[in-house]
Amino acid sequence: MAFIIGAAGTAKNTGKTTTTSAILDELYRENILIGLTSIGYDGEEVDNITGLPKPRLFLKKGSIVATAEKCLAAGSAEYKIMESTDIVTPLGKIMIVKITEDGLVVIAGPNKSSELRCILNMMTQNWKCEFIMVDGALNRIAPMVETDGIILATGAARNTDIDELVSETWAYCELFNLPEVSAEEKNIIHEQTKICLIKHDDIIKTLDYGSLIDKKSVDSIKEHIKKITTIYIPALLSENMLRELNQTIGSLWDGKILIVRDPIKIAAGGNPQNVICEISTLLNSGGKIKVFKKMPILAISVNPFYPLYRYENNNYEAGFVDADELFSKMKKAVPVPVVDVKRQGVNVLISLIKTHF
Amino acid sequence: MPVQKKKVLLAPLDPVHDIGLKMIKRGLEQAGHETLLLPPDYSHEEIIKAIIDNKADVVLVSRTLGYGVAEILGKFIDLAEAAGIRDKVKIGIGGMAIRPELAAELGFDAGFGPGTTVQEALAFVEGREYIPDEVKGKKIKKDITEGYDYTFKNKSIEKLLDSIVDGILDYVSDKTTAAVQRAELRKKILESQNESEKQSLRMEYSKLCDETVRAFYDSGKYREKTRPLSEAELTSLNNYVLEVNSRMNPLKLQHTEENPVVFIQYGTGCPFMDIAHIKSCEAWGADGVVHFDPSWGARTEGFFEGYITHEEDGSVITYENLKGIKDSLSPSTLWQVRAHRGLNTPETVLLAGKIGADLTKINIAYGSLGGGTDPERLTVDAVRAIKYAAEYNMPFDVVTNEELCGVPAFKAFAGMLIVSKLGLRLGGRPILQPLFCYSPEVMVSGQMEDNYVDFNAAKIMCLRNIVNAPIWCGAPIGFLTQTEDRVQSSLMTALHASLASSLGVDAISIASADEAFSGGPISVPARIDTLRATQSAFRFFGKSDIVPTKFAETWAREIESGIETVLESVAKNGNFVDALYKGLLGSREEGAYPGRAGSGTVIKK
Repeated sequence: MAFIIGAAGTAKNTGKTTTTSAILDELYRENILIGLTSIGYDGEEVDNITGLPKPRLFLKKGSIVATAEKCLAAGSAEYKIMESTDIVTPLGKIMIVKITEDGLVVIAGPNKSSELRCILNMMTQNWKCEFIMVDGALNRIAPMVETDGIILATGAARNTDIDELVSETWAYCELFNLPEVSAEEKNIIHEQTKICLIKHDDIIKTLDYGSLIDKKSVDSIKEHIKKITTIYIPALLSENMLRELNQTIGSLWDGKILIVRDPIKIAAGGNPQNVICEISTLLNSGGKIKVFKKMPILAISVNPFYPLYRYENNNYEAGFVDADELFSKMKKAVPVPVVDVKRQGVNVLISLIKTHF
Repeated sequence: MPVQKKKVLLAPLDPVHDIGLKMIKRGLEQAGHETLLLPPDYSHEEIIKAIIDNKADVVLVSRTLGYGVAEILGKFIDLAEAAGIRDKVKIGIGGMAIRPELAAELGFDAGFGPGTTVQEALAFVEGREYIPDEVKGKKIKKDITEGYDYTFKNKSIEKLLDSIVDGILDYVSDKTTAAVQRAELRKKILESQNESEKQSLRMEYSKLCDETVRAFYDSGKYREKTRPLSEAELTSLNNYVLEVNSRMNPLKLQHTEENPVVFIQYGTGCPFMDIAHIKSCEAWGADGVVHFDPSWGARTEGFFEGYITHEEDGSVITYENLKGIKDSLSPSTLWQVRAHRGLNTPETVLLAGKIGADLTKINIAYGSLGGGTDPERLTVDAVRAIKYAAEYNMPFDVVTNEELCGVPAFKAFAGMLIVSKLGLRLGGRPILQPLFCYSPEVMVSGQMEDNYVDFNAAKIMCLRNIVNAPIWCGAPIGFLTQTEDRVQSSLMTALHASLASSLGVDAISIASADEAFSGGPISVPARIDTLRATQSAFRFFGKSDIVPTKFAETWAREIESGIETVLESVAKNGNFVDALYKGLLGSREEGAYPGRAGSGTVIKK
């Protein structure tokens, strides 16, 4: 089985690609077949919006890469096309190639979970990748559900207020650390695509939506809450509706379990600190929350850089927050390893990855 | 196969900029698709719910990009993914600054930037590959002379011109020059397959040249401030052209078929730099380019060979330099090589013709009164040059830049009409090129005190009253109305372009916004300024006209009668060359000085 990790970010310029690049550089010392793809486009020489330089990925001979057709010519690495897929992106079809001569590559991978799953399967089954990095794009995180865990890149580009940033990252860690359901619970709900209201082992009602994003669904849940033990939401749970649910159900949470599909289905729906706050309310009322599938945050990568806008010349330049303060406050707050890749390298991450081989 | 009707949700994530979506909505509905335009104040969750409730097949989101907006859009896509609808719905993004790379980064299925057509959005909705309408957008090389039969409406002027042309042809019949001989030798060199024959022809050629050029053929010595381009530079140039051509998608300046073709002028001294300027101008819509050679080139007997770069203004004419430039041009670009003045006029036209130029430029009156070449010499050379132009099927413009010296329009026009008639007689296709600017004549006599419209209009009306011939306003239009202010310069160019268009002319030459006052190299952004300004002005006026005041017609009649008077005096004088010396087509008092370069070099056959 290949080990697949994603580099997800909380914003643009938080260091996803720098982290990916540093990990690849280190892992090339090991004798493993490395694969690389991304959940969007990354690898431009200058940032699409700020015009500041961006890191590009340097790959060594033998690596397997899944990227869009139009990106192939843009890199300097030599490659051989191994497989052409039917997955189409705005930059053309995704191709699976083998690097035949070291060089830079431009990566634009599949942008949906289902497509990423398909590509990852090809890379592991057809091309025997042992380790795959999935580079992130922007603040997008949803397709990362297909990985075995993510390294969350965050930093001053997301928020220059260090305390706020640390608080948000902590909230993300809490969300991604929610307990997984038991095997029995899994059996009941694993094929469900709509919100289910469950009494012990029986689904007693199925709602119209898979996501909890409307007041009507909240009212339906309230109507049945006394008769049920568990609520399962297979798709999105928005922050607003979780708040609504708390306000509507209140003390009736006692003894009830809320199950969401995975941490991303709840993280995507709002501000993580607010979501954690609502989850606390639920827990304090005696309720429980679990995820169907866990997806761990393996480590946090912090980046003190941010694009500083200059009004004088209508341009961006590199700005930095206090790197020591950022690192130490983050390390203290979160339960996973923290790295500042540019200053400390990625040894911590490499040891972590190596435990899987 | 009939296209399956789709349900398309249009979601403006932007409170203001949803006009693009409204246009696309109309196009989609016309194609039979069902559309639903959401209000601009919907939250992301409400949009997701609307997608689910309406069972939409496709969602088109519009949003203008700024810092931080990308994250908002990324969040929207995450939300769609988490809600489990990402596999069922195609999501496209449109707005300013949106490109395919950005759409990929944001996680959308397609990105539509500025200039996106409804057809493109339709192709996305219908799941087809978008194939641009090749014919509609494609630039086609235009023959400026097409449709003109050169019928003279003013018969008395035609009669006078015929008699003057008879005189010219008679005058040159027993004369030749070193330039004529060099052109003949050059033709043989180019056509010879035998290297030793070429070498001996070169030796013969060099004997007909000035010292500096002879030194090149004898000992390979280059003129000061010139050097050959290196192999590395040529390879790099070749790669540059290939790379640029592979991604060229030139704009079109014209909004209606009545708008004239637009030329720019280049001559940086360096062929590489010239090509970079040409490619930039082509990309921004220029239809034609005009080659400017160094002023010393006009006063030097003979041409060099090879790829030569020059560190001052003007790009050296050699077969290789011109060929390199020609090979870099887009297929639709008109290319003119000027030969209107100087001591190498026949060979310039020969080279232009051999390499495949579309146009050249010949005028005896300007070249000898404002261009510094001896009138007798240029008359003999020009007759041969016009014959080459006819042989290689190259129309040529007859420029009247002696107006810039102070010669009044009616005199300059008389010279232009003489050379045009000479051209017709020799089988050529002349193009009239009146100055379309604030000329010294009107600065003195005041016809432009109120506006720049009437006198320029009068010139065109006058020429139209005389002959049915193509008109190319030069050069550059608006000259001397432009200042160091690039906005002002661009506006003046655009207004002159619009006036020229309103008067129905066939072509115009425009300057860059920094050309008149650059005090140094012309910059590419300043070229784009005037191209964009001209395009916008064409769009603004469309087929509507600029209406001159009654003075235009009065002045048109005055110019026409002035021309007739001048032609009468030239015809009466009996000898065109002598008339040039005497100042009948522009006097010393008016600022026209018969040139001295090549004086006394005409040879009796």
